[in-house]
Amino acid sequence: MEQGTLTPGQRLRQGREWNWGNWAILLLLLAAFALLVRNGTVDRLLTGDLALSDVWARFNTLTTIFLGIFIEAAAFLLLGVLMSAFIQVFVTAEMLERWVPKNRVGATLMGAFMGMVFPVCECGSVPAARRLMTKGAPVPLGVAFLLAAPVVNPVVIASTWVAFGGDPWIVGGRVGLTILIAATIALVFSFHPAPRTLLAPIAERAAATCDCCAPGDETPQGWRARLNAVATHSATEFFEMGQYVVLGAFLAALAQTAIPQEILLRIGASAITSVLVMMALAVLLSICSTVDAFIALGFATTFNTGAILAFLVFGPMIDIKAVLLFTSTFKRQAVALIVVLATLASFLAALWINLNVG
Amino acid sequence: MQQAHAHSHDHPAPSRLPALWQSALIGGTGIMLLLKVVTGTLPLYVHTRYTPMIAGTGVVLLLLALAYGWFTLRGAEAHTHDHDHDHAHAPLSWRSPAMLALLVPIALGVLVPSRALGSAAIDSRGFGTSGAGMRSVQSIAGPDEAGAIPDPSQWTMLDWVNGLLYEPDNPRLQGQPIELVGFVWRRPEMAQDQFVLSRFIVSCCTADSLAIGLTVVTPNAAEFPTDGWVRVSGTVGKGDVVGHEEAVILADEVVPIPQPSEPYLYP
Repeated sequence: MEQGTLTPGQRLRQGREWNWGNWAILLLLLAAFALLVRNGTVDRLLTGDLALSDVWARFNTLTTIFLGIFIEAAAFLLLGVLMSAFIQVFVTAEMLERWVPKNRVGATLMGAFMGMVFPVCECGSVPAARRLMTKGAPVPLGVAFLLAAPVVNPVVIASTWVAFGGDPWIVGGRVGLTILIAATIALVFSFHPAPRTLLAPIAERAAATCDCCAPGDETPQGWRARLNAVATHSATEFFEMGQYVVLGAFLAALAQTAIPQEILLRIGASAITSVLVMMALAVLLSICSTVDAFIALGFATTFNTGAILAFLVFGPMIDIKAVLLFTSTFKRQAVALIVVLATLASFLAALWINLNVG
Repeated sequence: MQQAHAHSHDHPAPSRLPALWQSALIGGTGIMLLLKVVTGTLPLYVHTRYTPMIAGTGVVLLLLALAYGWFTLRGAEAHTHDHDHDHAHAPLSWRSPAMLALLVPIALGVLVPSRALGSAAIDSRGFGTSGAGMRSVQSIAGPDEAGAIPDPSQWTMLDWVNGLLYEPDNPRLQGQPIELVGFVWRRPEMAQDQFVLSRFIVSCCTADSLAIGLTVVTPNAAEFPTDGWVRVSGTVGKGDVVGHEEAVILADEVVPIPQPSEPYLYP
């Protein structure tokens, strides 16, 4: 009965969410069990070498680390969600469009920096970019905004700054690399003879949007309607993002308590493997860019700088959630191009940092 | 019985309940945060500088939950005219992953008693003065600064660890009186008259915590249980710690104390 009130697209999407959730939890449990068997915990439990009090102590460690990440992240998640809701309700795309430059470099740069006045994380950048492009903004602007806005915005820069204790290399490296990669991909798109043909048919767009921002939204009038819209947007987005934060915080805490330090150190120290592992993790976790710095911090003591930066730069551009959202805006081959270029560029940049900066 | 009602009357009920669940979970998250602040257990999870920020987050989450809940209950009639697009915000089922996920931190935060990181965390995560943690300890207070701090009696454990790690023979440190607070941790194969006086350093939240410590030499070391908190006073000396010569605390007095309300060092 409840299903009947949804559009087919939403039903599909809910089904997908269910599957991700189930698969993620199943994989987690399997991974946790495999770890416990491998490091001998199960053996020692069965033979009585490991007391239940030790298990309880480990559980407490896991809980304390998990809650530490979650509590810190909740503050920034709320901030990002409120900002996004206020912009959604009070700022129209038309206001921004008046300022758009006509040439490709100007449009690209504007797109890359627009997040500074239009702070959205990856979930919000897709509908916002699509709305701009369908209203006539050039495709390179949309692509640059899509890829850069989740990092190049005040909320994310602040949370990264806080998480890494003001480390200028991490904060500057994250912002600089993101702008560089986003602008490069946007320029590649600008040389396409007819960039607009890369966009997905407009009829598709309502079906696959992220739950937080419907592209067709009009700014509501009257304080009551506005307050209602802000509360609804914030609450819904808090949930959308919150589940990924919980999953990410749990995985990070589990990795810290269950995986032996030597293994993490060995992976984290190698120039290539460490980058690949952190990039894979970024894709799997699909954490909102507002809070991913806190997750990355959990790995910062064992992983090298290049790997941490790869996680912080690549994660907000490409993850399971973002790529699915991309398909609502671009045709398949364009999405594939974005994914391949972003993956290659992030990997090479991180590798270069590991080999040359250390 | 409910089926007998008109369809139009029946319609809002299934879509309103999940929204109320959502506001309950948002409010619950806020209450969990405020609970940690009020009971003074927040320093067990995050750096003390964030206490006002977390308290504010708790209050705003509660307000958001109230506003969302209020609009959901009151909004049945107002919803129809300006919310044609509301399908985009179709509330999730209460069994959806998002709902269940948000229950986890609330349940863990409210039901599981707050515990500071202790020896179990060191056993699974390693000890800061060896391995990768070195880098962080070094960057917090390097050996150059250690020599510049004038009065070692004001030093935290972190200052001592840094100073003794890089200049174990410095006469300004060796043989000097020392008094530190920490919890008891034991390395495997540690001598009967030794334990490690440890503390965690937390620069943001427990995810970045790093254990440091100094070995204490005292004849009655075995009396102090692992994870118990003690105040140790004595002099800095040298001792054999699991086969290596290290700077140690030669204890004159070891007194059991309750766990401090701020159990970590917050640089």
